[in-house]
Amino acid sequence: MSLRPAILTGIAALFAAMGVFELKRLVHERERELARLERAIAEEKARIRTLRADLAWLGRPERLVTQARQLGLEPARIDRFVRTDDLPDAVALAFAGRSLTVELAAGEAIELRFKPILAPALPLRPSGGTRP
Amino acid sequence: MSWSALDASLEPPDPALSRGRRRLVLVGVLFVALFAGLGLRLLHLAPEERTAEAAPEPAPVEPLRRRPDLLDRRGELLATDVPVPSLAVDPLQVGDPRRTAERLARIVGGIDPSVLERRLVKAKAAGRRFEWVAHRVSPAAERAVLEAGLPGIVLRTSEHRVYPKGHAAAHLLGFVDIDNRGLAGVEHALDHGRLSALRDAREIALSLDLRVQEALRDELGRAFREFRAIGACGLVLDVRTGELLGLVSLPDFDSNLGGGARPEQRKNRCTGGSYELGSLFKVLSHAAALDSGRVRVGQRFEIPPALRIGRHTIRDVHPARRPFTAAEIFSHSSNIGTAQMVFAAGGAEPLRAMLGRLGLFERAPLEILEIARPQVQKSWPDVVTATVSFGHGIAVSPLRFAEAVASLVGDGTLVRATLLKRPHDAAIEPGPRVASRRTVEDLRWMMWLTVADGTAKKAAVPGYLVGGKTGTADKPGRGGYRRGAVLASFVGVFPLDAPRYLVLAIVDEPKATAASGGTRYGGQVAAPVVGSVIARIGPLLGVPPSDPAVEARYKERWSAMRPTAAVATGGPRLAALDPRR
Repeated sequence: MSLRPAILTGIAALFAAMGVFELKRLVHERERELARLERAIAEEKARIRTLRADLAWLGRPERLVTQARQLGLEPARIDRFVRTDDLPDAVALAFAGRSLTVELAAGEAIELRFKPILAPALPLRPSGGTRP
Repeated sequence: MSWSALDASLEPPDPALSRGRRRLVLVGVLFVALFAGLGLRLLHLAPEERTAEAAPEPAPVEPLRRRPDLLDRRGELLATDVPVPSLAVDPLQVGDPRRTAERLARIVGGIDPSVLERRLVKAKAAGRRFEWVAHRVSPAAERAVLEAGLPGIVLRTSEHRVYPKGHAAAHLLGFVDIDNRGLAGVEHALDHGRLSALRDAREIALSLDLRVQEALRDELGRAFREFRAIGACGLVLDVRTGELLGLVSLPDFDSNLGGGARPEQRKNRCTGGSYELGSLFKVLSHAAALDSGRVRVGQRFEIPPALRIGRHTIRDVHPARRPFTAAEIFSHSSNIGTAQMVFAAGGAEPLRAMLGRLGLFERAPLEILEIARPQVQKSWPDVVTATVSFGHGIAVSPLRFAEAVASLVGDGTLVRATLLKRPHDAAIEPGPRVASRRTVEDLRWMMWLTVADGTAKKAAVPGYLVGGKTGTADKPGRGGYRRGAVLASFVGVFPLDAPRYLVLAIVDEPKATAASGGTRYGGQVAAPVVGSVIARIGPLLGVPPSDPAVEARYKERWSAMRPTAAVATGGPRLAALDPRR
């Protein structure tokens, strides 16, 4: 029997074994990475749940009531409701697009803009405010 | 020397040389076999074992069966599970129980080191491998325990139910025990009741509206404290869908600390208690009388100072001095008049039929399990019929009563209360009809009259057409009714031109104060609560102001029927109802 093929086969088998070994190690490493990521995801999810609970806790009614008072807010009242039918169209047009700066009790200033109401039946006055 | 050199030698066989060659080959083969064996062994051994080791590595962070999150109808979080570490030890690994106990007690707090030490020693002797030290420790304590590096420490993460809104809707949400098992309300129903099908849902949207709930709790709580009551119940019901937007029972508790609440705090007075509701019941008896077709709204009845039925005498708190129409009997809440109306309509039979159609003889089929059974007399002789007509001798839960009124004032079809939010696109399936449209219309008008010019003027809300009925029921005690102990109540519906919401307030045993004018009547105690609640929640729920035309029609109907100059006009109050002002 010839020795050379046997030896070459042996060497090839050794290399193949090493290759498989390395492959398995890589796979194993990937699996560890995957497990780590999965754990991290689960931890983040748990954190998100805790934060959601925190957020809801910050919005509990007792706290909001106190804060609303400090901010100078007041309850919505039914007499502030206005039917659009009751508004004279001229008023809506005169104010259309105008802006109004409102200063909140917190010190912040915000800009409110009147929404134009389309009333095609009415003649548009040229001086009736700008439309955004 | 190389193998090839050996191989290539073609010299004549020398016995010594060929022996040496054979030995060399043998050694070579042995080496190859050895290396091959080692390689195979390497292949077989090392990675296999390591992957097997890696498998349990991703520690299950969410191994426990979570409870669904509970949300209000607008998505506000009412209850959720939060992972919290708990602390335990493996006693066999603890070398020095005293030192371990002392250090743990210092870190965690609330632990008696000597008690813990004794427990550890005992567990160690018994060979136990697990001993709880503290449930639900803070993240800071968890870190401190880990940093202390004590041997034998076990930290387990478990789900802990939290109720971020504290007291809000505690009676509906309920609470859980230390192992996250539901003990009351929706939590209990999820584990053992009608909601168990939803146990594995991620979240459940309830019909509640946290804003409504808070307004109701605030206003009812004010009356509860002001009149030094022993209890109170308030609820807001969507008349069209039966969704409960709010339900408050006072005194209440914090769901986070549910297990520590006293029994009177835990009691859900709106669903778990049956009460003789008194004059509130006239809504139902008048509906029965009108629906029979034998009594009309404008029909006049003589009101004697006292009505004798057998051995019993029925009286009115404010005796009428003239004949009343059916509408006035309602708005002035005359017991004698109501009894006479019911007898004129046919007595027990139509009343019983109406109450049966409304389901007053059965338990309300709400999702939670704290639902009281109604208490009803078996036989209905005349005296029972008379007392039931003004709400005595029959006890029902406030929730059941609210359903009945919602059915009658809504559109005359049966309404069933629910705690689950109805999907936006779900069509409203009308229940079986319980009263004719005409009865519904008459009832709405009589309820309007009660607020506009009757016992419930304090429930009026500028801008909305509010209708309702007051009740001041004597509370039963040993051998009859108790003196001075009443249930002051009011049921209101708004806006009457297109009824959308029902608000019920019941104050249990209010004490007369200066604010109520020294009285304990429902019109003084409960009607203002309902009025304030409606004024607060109406705009929040986007209910537009009532149509002035409907109010004008109601007023016209009243002036057509009103006995000339017999009743003081409600002039200024009616004017105040104009939404444009």
